Amino acid sequence: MMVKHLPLWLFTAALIALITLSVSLGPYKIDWTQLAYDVVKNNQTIDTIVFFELRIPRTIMCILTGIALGTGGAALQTLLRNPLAEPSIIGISSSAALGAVLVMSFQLHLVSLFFMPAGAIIFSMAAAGLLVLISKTSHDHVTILLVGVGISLLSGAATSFLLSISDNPYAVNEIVFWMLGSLSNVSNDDLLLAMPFAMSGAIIMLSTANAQNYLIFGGEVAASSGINVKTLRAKVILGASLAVGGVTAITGMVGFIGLLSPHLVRPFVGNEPRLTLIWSPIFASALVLVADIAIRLLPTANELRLGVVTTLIGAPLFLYVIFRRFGK
Amino acid sequence: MDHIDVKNLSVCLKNYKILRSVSFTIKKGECIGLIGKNGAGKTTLLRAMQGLCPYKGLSNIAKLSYEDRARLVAWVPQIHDIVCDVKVKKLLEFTALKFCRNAEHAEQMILASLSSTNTVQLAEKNLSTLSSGELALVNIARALCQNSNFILMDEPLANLDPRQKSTLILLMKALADQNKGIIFTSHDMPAVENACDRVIALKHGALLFDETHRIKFTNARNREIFD
Repeated sequence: MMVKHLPLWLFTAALIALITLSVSLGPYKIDWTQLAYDVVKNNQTIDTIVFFELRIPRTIMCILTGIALGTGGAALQTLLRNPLAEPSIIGISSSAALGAVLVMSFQLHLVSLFFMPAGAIIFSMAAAGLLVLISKTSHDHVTILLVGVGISLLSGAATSFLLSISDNPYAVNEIVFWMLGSLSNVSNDDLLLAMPFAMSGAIIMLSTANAQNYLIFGGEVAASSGINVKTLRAKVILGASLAVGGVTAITGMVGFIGLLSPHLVRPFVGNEPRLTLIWSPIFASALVLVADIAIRLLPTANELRLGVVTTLIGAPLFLYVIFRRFGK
Repeated sequence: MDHIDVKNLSVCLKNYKILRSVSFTIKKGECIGLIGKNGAGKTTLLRAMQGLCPYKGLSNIAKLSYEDRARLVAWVPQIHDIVCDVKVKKLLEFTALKFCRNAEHAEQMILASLSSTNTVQLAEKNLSTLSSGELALVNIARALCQNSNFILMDEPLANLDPRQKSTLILLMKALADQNKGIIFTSHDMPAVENACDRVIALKHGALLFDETHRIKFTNARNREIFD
């Protein structure tokens, strides 16, 4: 294993380097010896507060976002038999965003922060459920993708509707900015809110890794090879909506990560679905970290929004991957 | 279990009867050709008896657990597209490792399946580089790795060149001799004449005849089936 997937292990090393970079980058320069000293002495200083209240939650949230979107993209691409499937293109992310916007526009998030992930997850599950229903009756990739695009457009329109009828311009501004996706103000509370959903969702999806290998010739062949395809499908949908709903509630929409990372992993693992699913979250986490680090390094007046940067990096990279694979 | 028992199997889709109360029994060691004109319900019959689509009636394999059924019956549908472009050998490995005692046994199984379908030279190729005939043979090799008592095939002879066809016919006869039960749909009457010791014909979703011996397709018989 160690030697077999050498590039992947090198990549894991790069991920660790990125994590180190992410916790050390920011407007405030942490004095590491001072920090170590303060931690040992249990002192509350600016260094410990910046490190534990800002840098650590932000970095872990990057990784969590990567895990949720990376597993979601890989699992959905295999399940829906479509290389374009990913949480944001097939409407899971935008439905999650709609759920969260509904919560925000009724000010429910001021009652309890828990309403944000709850709203996001309920809506992402509704979208995912509809997709499964369609994928059951239709074996056609295009239909499923079109339904996903339809769901995505519908929830986008519903979100715009909510924004346009809102009479509180401050709330509208807040919602629009949140939707663009950002990790800059992630607190430890946010992290604790998203973590259980993201991790349980990712674990549910990863538990289908072995079974995914039998989907290569489609669901019917998988079923006749002893795989309970209905359970597999339910697990992927449940897992994807939990994970993506959970992180979207905190970060807003972060596009293209789920689409891109499985495509980046496949050449290294001989296109094997199981290994793609296992490595995709690691690639995705690195992608989110790179985007978030880029945001902090770029000398812009206001910090760029993460969702904007991932799409700006992700879309051209995705086009490149597609041209290289299919454009011969 | 050494036979597949189907009783009064019916399939309805939107008030249209695709299959009307079909009954038969398949024993191990039989090589059965399932014939009938397009739309007669051949593929639906094979799918319904495995419980892969909604049905009425009885089939002794439809209600088995996925695992138990996979050990008893392998299914070879027609492949229209590939989700993940893995190597042929990898594809077979996934199945073989699941159904074989150990890695060594799996390796033997893969080699045997490849050589009996005459696809050894494809082992290191990616699925997307195969022709449709090669893909069909690889799909059969995959089913062989399940080491099941019965193999159900949908149009296995379609897309094959004459050489591949004769390989497959020989393979089906050999499998029946090894006491496996084979049933396949086909429009290739000479092949059915050659390979099958039993022929089941469907017409408008109902059983037309079930001849438990080799048959010749005369003009009269062809009219009976296809008109």
